Amino acid sequence: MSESAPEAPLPDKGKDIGEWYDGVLERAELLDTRYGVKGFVVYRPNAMRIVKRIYRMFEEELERGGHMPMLLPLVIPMANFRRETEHVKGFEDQVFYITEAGGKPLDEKLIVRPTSETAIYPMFSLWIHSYGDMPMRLYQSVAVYRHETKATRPLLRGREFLWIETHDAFEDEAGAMAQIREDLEVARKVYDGLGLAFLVVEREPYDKFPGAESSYAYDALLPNGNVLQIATTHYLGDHFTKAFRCLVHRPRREQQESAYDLLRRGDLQDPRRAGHDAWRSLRPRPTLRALRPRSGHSPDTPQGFGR
Amino acid sequence: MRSSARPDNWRLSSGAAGFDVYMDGSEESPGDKFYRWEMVGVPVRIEVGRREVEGGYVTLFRRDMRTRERVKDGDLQARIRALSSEISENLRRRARERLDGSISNAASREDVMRLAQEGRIIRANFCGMDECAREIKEETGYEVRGRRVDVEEKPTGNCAWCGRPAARVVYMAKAY
Repeated sequence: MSESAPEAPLPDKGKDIGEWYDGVLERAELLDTRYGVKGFVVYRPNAMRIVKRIYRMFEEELERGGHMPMLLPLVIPMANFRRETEHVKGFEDQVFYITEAGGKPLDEKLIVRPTSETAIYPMFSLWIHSYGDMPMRLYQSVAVYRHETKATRPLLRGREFLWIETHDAFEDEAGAMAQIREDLEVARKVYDGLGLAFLVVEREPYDKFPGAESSYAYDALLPNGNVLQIATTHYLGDHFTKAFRCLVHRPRREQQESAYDLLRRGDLQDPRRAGHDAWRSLRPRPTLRALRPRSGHSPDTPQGFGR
Repeated sequence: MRSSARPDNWRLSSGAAGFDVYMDGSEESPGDKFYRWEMVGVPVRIEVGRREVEGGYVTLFRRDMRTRERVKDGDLQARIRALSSEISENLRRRARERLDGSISNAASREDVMRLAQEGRIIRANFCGMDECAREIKEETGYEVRGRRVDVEEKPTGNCAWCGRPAARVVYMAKAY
C-alpha cells in the first residue's frame, strides 16, 4: 500500500510559508479564491465546518460566562459611526460606504460595519437605564468588512472576515477589568483546545484599538517565525458611553434628587483574528457631567488597527 | 484529483461519540485516499481492508505522529476518544515548545539587531517610548507587541534599545 502523493509535495512551511499556505488552502479544499473581488473569498465546506466548530467552542464558553447571543444590523448610520472621535479616525480609511440605493442617493448615508461598537452603543443607551440592567453581556458571530489597503491574503487579511464580537457593559471599572480577565481565559481555553500557542500581551499605548483605553491581544506564532494577532480584548473606558450618551439613573434619596451616571463598561471581542475585546467603563465621575454636551475630545489614544 | 465533497464520501454521523465520521467508499487506491484525507486534516483514520476484515480488527492511523495501530472492533470508540485527547495534547505541547524555543532575551541594541536577523521573538527591557518602537521597526522590521499580562515580568535593567530606564519587559516580533 504505497502512499503515493498524486501532487508535488508542499514546500517546507518554515521556509516558504506563502506557497505552503496557499497550497494547504487549495488542497484541503478550504477556500476558493476565484470569486473575483479582491479580499473576498468563498469558504468551502471543509473550511465552514471548521469555522462552525470554532464558533461553537467560543459560544459555549461565552454563554457559560453569562453572554447572550444577538444580531446587529450590518449597516451603521454615518452619524453614529462618527460619534467617537478616535474610533472614526482609526477606521474611516477602511470603511465601505453605502451612499445610494434604488438609483437614488440615500438621505442618511450608511457604513458597512468594520466592527460593531457604533451599532451597539445606541442600543445600550436605550436598554440600560439603571445599575440593575448591568452587567450586560452580549455577543454576535458575524462577518465584518474593512477595505484593507495592504496586500490581502485569504483568512489572514481579508476585506470580509468572520469573527465573534462581544459587547459588555458594567457598572464600574472593576467589573469591566474582571470581564477582561475572563475574556482572556475564554480565549485561552479555546485556543488551547485548538492546539495553538500564543503570547498574551497588553498592547503599547500607540497600538490600541481606536477608541479604547487599553487593548489586550493574543499573538500566535506562525510557522515562519512571524506572529499573528488572533484575538483582542479592549477596555473602552467611558469613551463610547460618553459619545452615545449612555446614562444611568441613580436615585439618591438623601439628596432628594436624581442623578445620571455614565455607564461604565468593558468591551468586545473578535475571534477570527480570533479575537475579542472587552469593554468597560469609567471611574466614577461627577454625576451631572454626563448631561452636558460632549466636548469632542477623547483624552488618549493615537490610533492603531484594532482587529 | 477528486473533491472530498463528492457524494460517494458518506458522512456517517457526527455520532454518539461526538466525532464527525466520514467514509470514503470510492474505488480509488488506498494511497490516493490516504493522501486526500490527510490533506484535509483528518486527525484519525480508520482503515478497513481485507486483512482487517479477516483478522477482526481495524487499523488506526494518527496524523500527528503518522503511526498505525491495530484495534479490536469493540475497543474502537474508547480508543478513538483517547487518541483525540492525546493528539490535542501533543499538538498543544509541540506548539508551546516551539513558541518557548523561539524567544530570546536581548540586552542591547546589538542583541536586538542580531536576534531580529535570526528571526527570533525578542524579549527585552523597554522604555515605552513611541520613538524607540518606531526606530526598531525601521531598522529591524520588528514591532513591539507589548508586555505579557498572563505573567508578571519586571524590568531588570535599562531599555535594550536606547539605554534609558526601562518601563516594562516587552516582546518584539515580526508581525504577519
